[in-house]
Amino acid sequence: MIADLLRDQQFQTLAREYKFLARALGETVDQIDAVLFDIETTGLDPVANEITEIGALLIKGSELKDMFCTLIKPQTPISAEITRLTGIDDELVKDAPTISEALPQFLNFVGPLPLIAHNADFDVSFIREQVRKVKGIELPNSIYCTLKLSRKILPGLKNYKLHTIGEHFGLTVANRHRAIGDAELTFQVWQKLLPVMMENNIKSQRELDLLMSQL
Amino acid sequence: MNVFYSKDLSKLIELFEAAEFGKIISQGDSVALKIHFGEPGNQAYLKPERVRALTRKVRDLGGLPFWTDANTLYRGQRGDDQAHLQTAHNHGYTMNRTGADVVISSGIPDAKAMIVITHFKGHELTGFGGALKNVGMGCATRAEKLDQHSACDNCKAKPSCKKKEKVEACWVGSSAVVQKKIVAHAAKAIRSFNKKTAFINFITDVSENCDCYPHNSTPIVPDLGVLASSDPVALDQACVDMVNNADGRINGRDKFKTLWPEVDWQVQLDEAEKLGLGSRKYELISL
Repeated sequence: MIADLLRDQQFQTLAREYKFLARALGETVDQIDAVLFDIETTGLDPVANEITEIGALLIKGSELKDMFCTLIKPQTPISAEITRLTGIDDELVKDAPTISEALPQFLNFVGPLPLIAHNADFDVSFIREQVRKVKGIELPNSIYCTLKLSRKILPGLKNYKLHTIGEHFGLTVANRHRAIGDAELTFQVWQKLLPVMMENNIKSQRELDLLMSQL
Repeated sequence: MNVFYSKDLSKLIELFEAAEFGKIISQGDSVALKIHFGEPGNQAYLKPERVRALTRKVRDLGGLPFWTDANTLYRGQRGDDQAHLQTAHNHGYTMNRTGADVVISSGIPDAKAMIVITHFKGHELTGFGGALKNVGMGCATRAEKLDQHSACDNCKAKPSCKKKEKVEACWVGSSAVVQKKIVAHAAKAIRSFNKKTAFINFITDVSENCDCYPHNSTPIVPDLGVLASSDPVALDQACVDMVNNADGRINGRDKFKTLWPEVDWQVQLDEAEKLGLGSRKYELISL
């Protein structure tokens, strides 16, 4: 059986030596094509609240390949509290596309690639809800959460907020709390996490998928 | 036979442990998780979040889990390997979300043990669809499915019946004959695992029809919970009783008979009991 074969130690050793076998295990984590993304919203509830911005980076391994960024005009006014947190107000989004216009563009940018986000449960819950509403399907993409992953492979940090992990790695990024700024910091964190994953024997995409399913 | 029950759908692993399903898994066993991935457009299928805890449990016991189903007879989106895999993927059955791969089986899954996870619902040909049908028809090849559907009393009565000439299901066949054929194949499949089988039924979104239609019907009863047993006959009987005893939009002591008056659903349970697959008598143990 293929499933048994993929878990066989001897096969895995051979797979590292012979690239055609390695394809069966998936890419190594440092070669993954993926989209890192972050969203800004009008609140915390993916059903009641709306997305106001999506920032996304298309990567191959640790290389940046493309960028996608859009403001989104919500159907309800943006509260002063949200404006204070994100800097996004009604004036800024007045000419922006609606979610039903922006979502297909974002999904087209992502294609079948895995999505990477910090605290992905939050960001993905909004995208998942919109994909259900706009396209009537489940979001099928793999999800890698840098928060859950960091908790697993970087034990002992005081907390696992994005900037705390960034500081742990000596990273700084301007434009925080806007979608593209947070996506950029997530990308830098991801690059730093790649060798830590390898050290923790999370070498193939399959191994990462399996780990994420259990976190 | 004991049937374990929880109204709380999240208590799947507690049920697994209460039913002692761990006994059927030995170190290194491949473990088929037999499920219906849902036809696109139908939302009543079991969502991965509802069942994915099983893969971790199986791995913790040393087993190698994989999700599986066999291709359908009818021409939907699960009629060939490629479309079937895509449907499973689109419905969230991925390694990333569930911790196990999907393997489309040719009939009975190639594995050491099998856990049969069933969305319990009504069925136009068998009255209800439970664990026995999930194994009996769900673990059949397309040729075996065609045989189950088409070699019916109706064809004998009407030699001119053209339906059997098509590679499509015949839905007008004698329900009793179809049920007996399904159960006969269920017996073959279950015996092939040498008692390394376990059965879990979810009574959620109980539709009148099976999950093969690309749309949903209003549930006939509210979601009632999840049940587990080593005995598929006891399990299905317990589910039938639970649905029939619940308040819902279909009244009457026998909701399945009310829905499908020409179908005697008891045939599948009687036949399964006769073939030694289990007992219609059971003890319900609530967690």
